[in-house]
Amino acid sequence: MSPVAVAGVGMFAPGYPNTAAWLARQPLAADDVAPQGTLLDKHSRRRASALTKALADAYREALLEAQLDPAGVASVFGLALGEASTMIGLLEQMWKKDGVLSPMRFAASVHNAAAGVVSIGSKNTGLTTSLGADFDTPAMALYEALAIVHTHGEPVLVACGDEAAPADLVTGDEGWDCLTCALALVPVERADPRLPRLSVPFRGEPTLAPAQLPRGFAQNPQAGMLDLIDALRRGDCGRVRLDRGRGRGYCVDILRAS
Amino acid sequence: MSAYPPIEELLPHSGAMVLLDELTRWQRGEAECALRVRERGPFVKAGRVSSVVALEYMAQAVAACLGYEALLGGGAVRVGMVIACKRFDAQVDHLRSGDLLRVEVRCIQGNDTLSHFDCQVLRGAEPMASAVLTLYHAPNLPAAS
Repeated sequence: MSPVAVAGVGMFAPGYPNTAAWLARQPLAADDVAPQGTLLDKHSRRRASALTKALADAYREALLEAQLDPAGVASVFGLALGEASTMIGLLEQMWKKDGVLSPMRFAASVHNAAAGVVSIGSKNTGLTTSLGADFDTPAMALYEALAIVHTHGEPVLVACGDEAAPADLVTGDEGWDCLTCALALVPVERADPRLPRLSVPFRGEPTLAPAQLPRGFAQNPQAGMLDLIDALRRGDCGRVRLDRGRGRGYCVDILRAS
Repeated sequence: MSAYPPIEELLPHSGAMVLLDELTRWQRGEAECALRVRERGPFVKAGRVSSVVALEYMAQAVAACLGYEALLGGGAVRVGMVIACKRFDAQVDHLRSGDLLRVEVRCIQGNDTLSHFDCQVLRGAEPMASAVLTLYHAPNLPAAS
């Protein structure tokens, strides 16, 4: 597959409600910055989890920068754990309490909840899909997105995120904070030639150093997406590793017109 | 004769879904089970079973590990649910009926509600599949609605 152009980026993390805040490295008090989910209609926003709203915020930022059609853009959502804390809450209800489940919470517990809520909440009739691949989630989401760009010749929004790891769900000291990132990918032939381009993910050796991240972000399975956003915004060319050494070694090349 | 109770007494499964043959080694947090892939067993087609089914062998070995622990403690076999599978690696596409397999499981972290087990399926000394399973535990099956 040939490269695609990156027309927009977005992110949400505690203290950093958007990419500008992150690049300035000026965190707001985390308690003051809850994800807003402003992309979503009122009904969807009400039923969305904090993770879904955080994904929606990153998605919206990338969408606006790329000036894509919110009602038709295809999307790929990558989550390593999915809505794990909602799912564990439901299991507690089923197995240890009265067993009566809330249909709304059930709908919000599935791995593709964010894909569904963002799609419905933004009245988007475009293709959407959701996947998880542990620490290779960013690489696999980008792989899927590039395949869709090339198959349909249309832009694709990639949004990757994971909530703060629920207690005891991850082993050892692997816990992490919430982090969501998004990229708007467009076919090269439809893009401004000045935009950076991204190769298909492949296993290789990085040439660019990872960003300096707080430990809670660096541990998140999506940290490689933040490394990629950092490199894109710095104007770097080179190879970024997407798994921070904990997956199978997938990287992407950032290319720029000379 | 095995030093351990029949496998059916250690698992919450029954009938044909008991895929393991016996518990062969146990210590708290670790177990080894054995099975021979049955020609007429569930998931076996034309003498072959997909290596993905190794996940079920692993899950049942974890259940046997915890089931025996529960029996030793005077309790009943507990039920559990696999809620995550990480780092699944299969060295083969399929296993064959008649294969004699060993399933090794080891708890790497856990409490009464959630636990993580490092699991491996071997044919002789040859690794066939490995994964880390995360399980949710409960004393009973959920009440039928």
